Amino acid sequence: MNRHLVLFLGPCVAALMAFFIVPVWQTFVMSVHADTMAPNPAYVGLANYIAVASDRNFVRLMTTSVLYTAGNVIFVWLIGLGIALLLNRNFVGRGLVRAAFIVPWATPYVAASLIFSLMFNYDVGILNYLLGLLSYGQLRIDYLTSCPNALISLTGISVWKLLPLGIVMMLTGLQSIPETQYEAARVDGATGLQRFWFVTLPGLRSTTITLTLLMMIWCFGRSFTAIYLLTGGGPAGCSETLVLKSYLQMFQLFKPATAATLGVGVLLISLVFAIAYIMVLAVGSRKNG
Amino acid sequence: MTYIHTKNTNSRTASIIGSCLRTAAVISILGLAVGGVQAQQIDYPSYHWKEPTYGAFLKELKTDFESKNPGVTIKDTFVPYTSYVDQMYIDITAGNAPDILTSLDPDFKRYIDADLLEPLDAYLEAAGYSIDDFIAPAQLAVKDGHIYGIPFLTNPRALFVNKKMLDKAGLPLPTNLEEFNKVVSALRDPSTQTFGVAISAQSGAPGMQFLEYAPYFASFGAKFFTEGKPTADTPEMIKALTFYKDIVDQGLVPKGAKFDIYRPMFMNGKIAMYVAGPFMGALTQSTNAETYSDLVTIPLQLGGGKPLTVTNYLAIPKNAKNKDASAKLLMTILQDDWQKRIVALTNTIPGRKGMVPDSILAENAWFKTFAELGDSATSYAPEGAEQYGSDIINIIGGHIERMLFTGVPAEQVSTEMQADLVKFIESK
Repeated sequence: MNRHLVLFLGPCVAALMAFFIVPVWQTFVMSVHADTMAPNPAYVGLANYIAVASDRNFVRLMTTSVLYTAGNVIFVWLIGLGIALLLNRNFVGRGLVRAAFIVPWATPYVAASLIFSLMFNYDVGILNYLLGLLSYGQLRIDYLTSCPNALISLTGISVWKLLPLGIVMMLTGLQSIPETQYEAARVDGATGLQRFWFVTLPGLRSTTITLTLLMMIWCFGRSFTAIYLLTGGGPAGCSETLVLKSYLQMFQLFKPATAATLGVGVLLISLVFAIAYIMVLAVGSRKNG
Repeated sequence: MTYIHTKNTNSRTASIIGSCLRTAAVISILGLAVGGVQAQQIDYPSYHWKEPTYGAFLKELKTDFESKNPGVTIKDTFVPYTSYVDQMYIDITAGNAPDILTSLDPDFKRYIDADLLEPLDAYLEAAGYSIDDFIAPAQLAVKDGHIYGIPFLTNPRALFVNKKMLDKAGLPLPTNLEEFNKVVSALRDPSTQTFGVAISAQSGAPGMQFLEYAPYFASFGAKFFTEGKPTADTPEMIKALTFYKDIVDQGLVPKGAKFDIYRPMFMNGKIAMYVAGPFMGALTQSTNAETYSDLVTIPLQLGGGKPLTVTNYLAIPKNAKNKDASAKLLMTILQDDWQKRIVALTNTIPGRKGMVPDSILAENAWFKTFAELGDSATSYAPEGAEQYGSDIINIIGGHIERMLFTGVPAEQVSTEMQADLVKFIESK
């Protein structure tokens, strides 16, 4: 029994140790040493954490990260629910439309970001060209070089990318609501809006919680690709998140300890969301069990 | 019988073991010999290997060098520029250094200051070269009387002009700020998205943007650092910042576009002027023959400043495995024939002075400006604080973005940038 346990779980535990525990530990060790690329840096305790937290840009970084995450969570939920409600109906070509909504998921993020950077260009981008046609040349939007437009545009790209997840989860949630509940509501004379409010939304409660927590973990900890490629965190730090700052500290300024400190910070915040997610799952399984 | 059989078996076993040992010894000797030859493999990772012009030069060099030095091979690992700087710094500091390192100005000084590079004095002396034989940016390779690298090639910045576009508008080549502004304003046409000039006006990686706008600042005579001290609040700096802010605010340059958008626009006749190194001539030639035939180059003349140049240095890390073979390759690059080959294949200025062949100047009139600037143009790295180049460029980039995109006036940016640079340098 024990031998089988070791045989089956051993590789998984070893892989987790090698690819997760050890790098996380190394990052933590790096964060409590001097900020230098030279070998054998001195131990400095929590000095890097104090320096990062007292940096004049720290509040801005946190705010940007939270706004970016909140924007993603809210819009993926809202738009995902809206599209899922449409896709939950029977219509000709439903399968095709459902497949079409998965396209953003399948598109490589870097390729998508580069296409968006061309579309968003102020002078030669297609979006401003179309706006110009519609407004007789009166209207043009500075998508990426003004604040807060840059953060809004980047959040929009991320929402586009994550939307399929929201749609799929919401669609699954909608299909798990028993039809009898809608029939009972109809018999009681409930309107369409009332059925949505009193049957659909409560029926999606657990899906909503799961989606929200997953999105919080993913968006907070992965707020990087499009931001790095399109604005580099600019203009003037307007779209700079904690994750991007960590990367730039390491690979542009060669400050490993500051980068590691920011990385540990992101990990701790994501862990809070992850623990909340696990607790929700545990409560759910107790209720079902 | 059994005993005899066992004895025979034992002797056969011993004989087999003996044969195996002998074979193993021969193989190991051969292996050592082969290993000895393999040890002469020069590990030369670079972002140049796959570039059309630089790559062509390096491949030709590799073939020739390997044929003339039997047993020595060059490992031509391509590393994209976007990850090259990070990877090399990590490899070298972690003790896994390549044999040859390519580096641009600020990073190169940082390697020297961290004592990570091998002095090349002995190799250069044996080959008959001194520091005076090299172009001006070679001074960056000198510390405490030792030379830590050679300038491979340099790209001085000058103004590329599509003369046909200026002629059509009846405008002369700009020789001062007033004439420059006149061209920029006159050729801007929003209906056809035509521009008089392109300069970086977007948010993003500060290093790449600095290379785009720094030549303008230098032309005004504005220097972010002078002899190791911040000088970002001089009248020249305010003049340069105001000029930059004005052309962006007035929509006279492609806003939000990276160079991978506006360089093709220039090559396709949508932009009349662009400040770049001579590589731009080769790029235009391979992209649009018509624009290439209309190209003229002149020094950028907005004030009393000197032109800037971006230099690629080659060096040997201290913990490189094949220093002698690598040094031999570097000395080969410095030979007259190869220096001239650099010009012919890459359209850039090689590391040694006076190595641009007359035949190339006769065939490419636009190249003359660069040949003249090559010997005197100065490094774009902050003067006297080159080793902190990345940090300083990052600080400058943040202030430039604030000025361009959040409405902060040029004077205020100048004052605040100076204060931040002083604070930074005092912390070192």
